[in-house]
Amino acid sequence: MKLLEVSGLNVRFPTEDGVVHAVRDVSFSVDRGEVLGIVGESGSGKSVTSMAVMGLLPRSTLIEGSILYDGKELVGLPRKKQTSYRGNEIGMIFQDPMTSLNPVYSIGWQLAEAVRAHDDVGRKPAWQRAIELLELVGIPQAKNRVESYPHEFSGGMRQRVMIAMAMANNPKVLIADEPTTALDVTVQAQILETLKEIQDRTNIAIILITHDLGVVAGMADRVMVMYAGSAVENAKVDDLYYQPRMPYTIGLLGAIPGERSDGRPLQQIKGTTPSLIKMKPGCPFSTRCPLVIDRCRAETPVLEPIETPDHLVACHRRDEVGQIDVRSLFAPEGVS
Amino acid sequence: MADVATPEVHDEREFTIAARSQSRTILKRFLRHRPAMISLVVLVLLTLFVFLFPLVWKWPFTTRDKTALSKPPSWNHPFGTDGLGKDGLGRVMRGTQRSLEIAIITAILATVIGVTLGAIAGYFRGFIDAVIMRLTDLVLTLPLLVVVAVVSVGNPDSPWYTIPFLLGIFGWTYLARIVRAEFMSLREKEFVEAARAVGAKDRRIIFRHILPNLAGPIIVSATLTIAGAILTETALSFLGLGVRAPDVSLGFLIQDGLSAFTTRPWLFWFPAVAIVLVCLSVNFIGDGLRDAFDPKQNRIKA
Amino acid sequence: MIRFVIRRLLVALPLLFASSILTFILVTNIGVPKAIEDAMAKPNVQQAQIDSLERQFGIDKPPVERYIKWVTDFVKGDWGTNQNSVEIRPLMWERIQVTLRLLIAASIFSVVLGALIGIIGAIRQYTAFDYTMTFLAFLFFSIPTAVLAGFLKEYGAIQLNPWLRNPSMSTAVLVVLLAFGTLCGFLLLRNRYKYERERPLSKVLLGAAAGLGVAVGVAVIFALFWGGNTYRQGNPKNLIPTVGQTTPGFEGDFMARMQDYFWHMLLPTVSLVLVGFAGYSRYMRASMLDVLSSDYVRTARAKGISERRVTVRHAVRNALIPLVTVVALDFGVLLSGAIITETIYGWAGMGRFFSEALTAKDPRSLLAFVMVTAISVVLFNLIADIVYAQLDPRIRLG
Repeated sequence: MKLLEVSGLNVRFPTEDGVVHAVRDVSFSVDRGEVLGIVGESGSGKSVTSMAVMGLLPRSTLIEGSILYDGKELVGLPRKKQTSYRGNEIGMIFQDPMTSLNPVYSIGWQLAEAVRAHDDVGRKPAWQRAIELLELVGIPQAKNRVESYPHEFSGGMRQRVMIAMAMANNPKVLIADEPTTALDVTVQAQILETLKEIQDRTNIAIILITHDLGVVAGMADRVMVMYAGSAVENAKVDDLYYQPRMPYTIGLLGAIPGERSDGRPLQQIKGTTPSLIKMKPGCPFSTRCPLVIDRCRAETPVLEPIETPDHLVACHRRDEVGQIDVRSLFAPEGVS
Repeated sequence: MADVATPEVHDEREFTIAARSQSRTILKRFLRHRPAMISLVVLVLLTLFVFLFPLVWKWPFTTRDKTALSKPPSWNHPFGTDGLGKDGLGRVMRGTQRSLEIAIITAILATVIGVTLGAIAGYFRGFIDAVIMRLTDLVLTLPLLVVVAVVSVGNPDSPWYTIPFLLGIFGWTYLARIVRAEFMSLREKEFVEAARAVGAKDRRIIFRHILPNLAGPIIVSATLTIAGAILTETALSFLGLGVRAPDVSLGFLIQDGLSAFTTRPWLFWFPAVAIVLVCLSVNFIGDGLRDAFDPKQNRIKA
Repeated sequence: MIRFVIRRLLVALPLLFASSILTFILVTNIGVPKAIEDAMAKPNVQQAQIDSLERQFGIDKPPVERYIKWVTDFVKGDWGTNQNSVEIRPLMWERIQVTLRLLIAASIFSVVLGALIGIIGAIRQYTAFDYTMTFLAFLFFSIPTAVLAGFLKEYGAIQLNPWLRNPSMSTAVLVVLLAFGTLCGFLLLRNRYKYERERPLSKVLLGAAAGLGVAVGVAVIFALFWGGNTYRQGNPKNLIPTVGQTTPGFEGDFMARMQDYFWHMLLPTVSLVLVGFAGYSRYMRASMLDVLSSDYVRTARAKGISERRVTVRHAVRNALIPLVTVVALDFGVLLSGAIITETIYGWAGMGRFFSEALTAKDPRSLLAFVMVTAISVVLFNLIADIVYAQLDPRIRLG
């Protein structure tokens, strides 16, 4: 059994304008030492999924399905029990390091707080641990810097502090929600390096959420593509990149500038994501898909394996997609 | 290269289209705010009443009914009478009129001064900004009530509109600060750069580009100034420096009624309720406007 | 830190200087003191009389000269004498002490109450408690200080005192009151959480309610025993006084005098607090809502610390910072409110000083009053900045 198994996760938010069905029947799993990349645009439900795993969603949210951590069911747990997992077994880091740290406390204080939240230790040992954690993530002169305040650190350093905080209690799963989006490219690489090192050392499972396929390519073992709240493709990273079977995935890949685009105009997927409140039946991507047929609009495709059993696709036309030239799928008019 | 239409016209069209759909959203949000809507109705009805009813009411606010001195409310005098036989309803209506007039003039004056100074300071920065900021600090060292009281005492026979004049002249600091801060941040934004690149002059940028973005805070602040002005005028009346006899304001009536509270409570209650009603409505409307322009809270229902 | 204080003081001096000029202009514009007006209205008035009066009030010289003389004297501590030839500085000092009692008590209670209500309102957004408190805040926000003070004076004292002398209540009324109170308490404390994650505050609210009950109990014992007898002997008719800040000619031990202060301060302070807490509670609520949706609070929750700790250590701590500046800057408004309240309750404080000076149109009194106010405003701004820097490490000053 894998360390974290999510099956049939559904998350609904009641709002003034209606019920937002943000996550629809999503299933995935991740094991020790693995990196699962979750990819999708804004509004695809990727962040909400991870927040559901962490138990960070508001009380009024309706969560259905199963989240099994080490065999224990997390959905429906009373709040107090949830807190014992959060930050302890499952850690999370967020997107914007500039605002994710409390400005009025020193980072040593905040790290020590993370430690003492789950471990009954005194202040001195917690402080020691804080220094160790800073060293773990590669912050120089940890002993001195531990007393500094967040505003005295650069963006990249702050993100490292966030990683340190997430690792404070030796969690077995680390969820990184767009950890590099707000950082410079060079710093991005450093952060990802740090994550890799930590994984090598501790064999944790990492869920890496991003909209950047380049980041995923370098880090992930498996990738799950989400669109409008549903998982539309789930495969090993190589399979996804070289043999995508869902038009949306192809569209995403086509939008990466680089070798693949060969000096041709970049492909774009015309249209916008549908509203999550008034969803029509059928495939959520049907409004923008170049391969759409009537069946796509009537019947919602199910995430099922294709010939290779660990490559799952939710598309009625997956077999056709396997046979066409993916590069021409979203090509702008007038270009061969 | 295709013909480029006059930049100004292009600019205009784009701007107004965006503004129109935005105003509609804002209006919709405002209409959904129930306390604000109720207050708006109440306030409008009240204003219409106090300005129109006196035209048909039989007791003008200065007439003394010698047959009914210090009488409690009755059919003849729904709000009772005071020691000189003056009708309570007539006086409360007149007082409300005056208080509303004072409040609105104050708000207009304070808003104009505050926005102008804030805009100039925030846009041009540097020396001008420093000067205006020092001026603001200076005005802030003297509490509004104190300053207006001191000036009023020296001019006892001045007409009622000197009060809102003074309140406006000394009460613009809050808005100036806000406007300045907004200008300083907005002027760095790209749309200002774009406008300047197209050749727009400073004045145009200030009035057509940056200022409309501040409509929200300005309107809200103006509404709150109205409520504040009524309250300050009341306080002035307590020092004997508000609107003077024979003219009346709500503040004057309250101060007058307070001394007779135990024996003739109606002289206090009616103007008091009137003031609270007006201020409460104005405050709720201000809150509704604030929510309409800037709905920060996500209302997730239970 | 010291450097910061010194720098700010240096900046404050030119400001105060400019303030003094403005003040002088404003005060000189009020024209002629009442005493001189009265004298001039009499028939057979002699020029020599007028001249001597002018010398007395110090307005016989040209303005610039008067200004220079005033400023130099003021800085030296010589604030002159007022219209009744009483020395201004000692008089003002007396009056300030009285007003200060009221200001400090009112500030503390309105800030604490306002902050608490704002915090709870933010955490329990959209619950019955929140809506009720919002409405009450708006209501009190819209009542002029004078109206509230007058109302309390009438119903909190004048009408209440006879009853307090002989408390009696039919059982029916008592039962109704108790039922009503319980219903209100139930409604307000009901846990209709729409957005909250845990229940960090039920215990706190119950604790607060219990604390309130204990406080009332203590006050009752206080009133009945500890010095209460002496106090009531001095005030046989009115337990809750309405005039003055102390009972005239009151003699008694320390506790009795404390009682005297307390009962006299009760209504004026309550008036100011009711008007003041409203603004603070709205402000705190907005600040708290802002903070609760911030990224660092989300991080704190992700660390797995208890919701109570998140609320208190992370959210409240940050939400309080802007409130500090607001409180300090509100000094002018607070003073205005105090002036009105003092007038209604007949206190001999700065309020009376000001209105007497206004009636007499005495230039020296008014100058002294306004300058003292200006100095206080500047001082409080400085204190606010210092406290703000202490609370927010991003603003550590060199």
